[in-house]
Amino acid sequence: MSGMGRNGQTGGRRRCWVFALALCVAASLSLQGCSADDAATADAAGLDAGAGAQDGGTLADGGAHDGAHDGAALTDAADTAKPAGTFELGTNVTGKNTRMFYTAVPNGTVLNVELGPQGLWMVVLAFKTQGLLKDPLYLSGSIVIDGNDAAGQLALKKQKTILSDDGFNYYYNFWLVVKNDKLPLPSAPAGVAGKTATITLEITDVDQKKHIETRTVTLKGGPNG
Amino acid sequence: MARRALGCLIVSLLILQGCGSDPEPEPAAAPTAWSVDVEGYDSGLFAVWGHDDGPLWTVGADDGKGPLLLTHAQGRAGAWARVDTSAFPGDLWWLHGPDAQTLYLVGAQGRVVRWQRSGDGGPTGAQGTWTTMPTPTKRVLYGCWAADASHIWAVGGDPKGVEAGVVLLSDGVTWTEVTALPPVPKGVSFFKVFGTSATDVRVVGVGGTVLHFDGEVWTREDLKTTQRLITLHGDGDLQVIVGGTGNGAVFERDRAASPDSRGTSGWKDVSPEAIQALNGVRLRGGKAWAVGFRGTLVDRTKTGWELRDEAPTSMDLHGVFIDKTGTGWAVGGNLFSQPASEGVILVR
Repeated sequence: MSGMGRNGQTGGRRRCWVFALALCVAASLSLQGCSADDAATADAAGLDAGAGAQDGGTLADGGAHDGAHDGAALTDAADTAKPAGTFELGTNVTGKNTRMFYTAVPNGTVLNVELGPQGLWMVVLAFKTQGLLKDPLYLSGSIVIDGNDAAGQLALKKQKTILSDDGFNYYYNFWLVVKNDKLPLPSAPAGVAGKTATITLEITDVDQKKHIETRTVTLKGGPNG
Repeated sequence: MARRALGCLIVSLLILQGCGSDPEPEPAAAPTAWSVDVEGYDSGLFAVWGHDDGPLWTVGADDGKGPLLLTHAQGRAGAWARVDTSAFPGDLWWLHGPDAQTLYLVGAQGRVVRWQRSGDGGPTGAQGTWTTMPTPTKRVLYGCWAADASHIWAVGGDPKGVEAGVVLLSDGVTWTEVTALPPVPKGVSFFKVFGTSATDVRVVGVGGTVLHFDGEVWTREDLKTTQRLITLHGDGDLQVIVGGTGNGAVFERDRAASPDSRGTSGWKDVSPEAIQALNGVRLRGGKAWAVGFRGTLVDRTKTGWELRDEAPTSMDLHGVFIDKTGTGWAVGGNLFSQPASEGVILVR
């Protein structure tokens, strides 16, 4: 019994040590957990810094992340050494605001005149840019059909782009209404399909830096399209 | 030994406590900026409204389960609750009521649905019966307004711009089409109706159309614009119409300065520069707020209508309301999808 008692006392001490050790390990892990959170925060801060650095600064930590604004963006920017500022005029599937619905609009593009939910005929413009313009932007667009008719104009202030996972900043859904002021209703002129249109988009950034893009396109769709 | 173990335990607990707890949350201040209250609904939302003595309601597109209709106990904590609308399918565009016991909702296919409160409406004030009322049109009804229990107007038109716009009037029992309207171009849809009484009612629509009813005669007001006029509202002497064909448009009229209710000289174009087209406007207690496409939020300030800097959503906003506590509610969604989707509710 006594042996049992001594053994029991020794075992009790051992259990106490083990318990204390376990608690210290738990505390250590807790501390590690805290610092892991801190590290995650720092990581996020790094991503933000990286995203901001596309204005021309060098980028660190490229490709370390997958997803979001993220690895692809940083890798792309770091590896390709693009010229100091790119801009591409495009269009997007109406209402969508991710780059998978974006396509470039080079000269000669056939551009759709579609009926928006507001009941107005319009073309949808978008653009992608990198290292060129600083938000917020002032956008001013116009469409001239057959060279003689200011068929539509739109200006928007305080506009912001969306940084995508390819490292470019995108702007979607610039709804340029195509109207006919000769009609009592501001609807698109009938028979715009097949006509040549000149589209101009002027962007002024927060530092008053201007960028102008012009495209000659062929229209399709419209009321009789 | 036991002391060491105890010390280690205390240190561990303190560390765990320090790691696990967040700083004490600051008491929530009254929001001065718009923020997202709820987002991610399958259907887009078009309108939000509530009588001062009843619950808030917001209504929108039909995603196949009936139009999204949500209710929220006004001035009380709690979430928005969905109302079963499977009995009246199709988008519902607008809602208004003459009192806390009655609500009219209008929408696709000339549909008018009336809600009649049961008793005191239960804990949320929203318990009641729903009735689809027959109307003489299949055109889309985009707006409604009740001057009182026996003067309820609904307006609409053809989304394709082919058929003429429509104005309906109800005595609370039967809906009839108003035919004595001034001539407007064929295909002009009417979007909203609002007034100060049953003898001072305005309708706005496509092509700068504004119609006024003085209790006897409908006349057309000339705002010298072809802008698309979507919504109007007023408070006190100030009346505001918003819309836009491309860019946003705002027209104001001070009734004190133009006492002739039929006069058109009082309307002024006060459109702010370079903003998206506007869909909704609300005035109350000195506040005047408007909302529009792509999350556009605009305030009337001492220097004019100004675009707000915050952008809690990129969704299209369609309706705005200021409740009796001064809290603002704005609703919308992706209005470019068919049906409208991704409903969002903002609060301020």
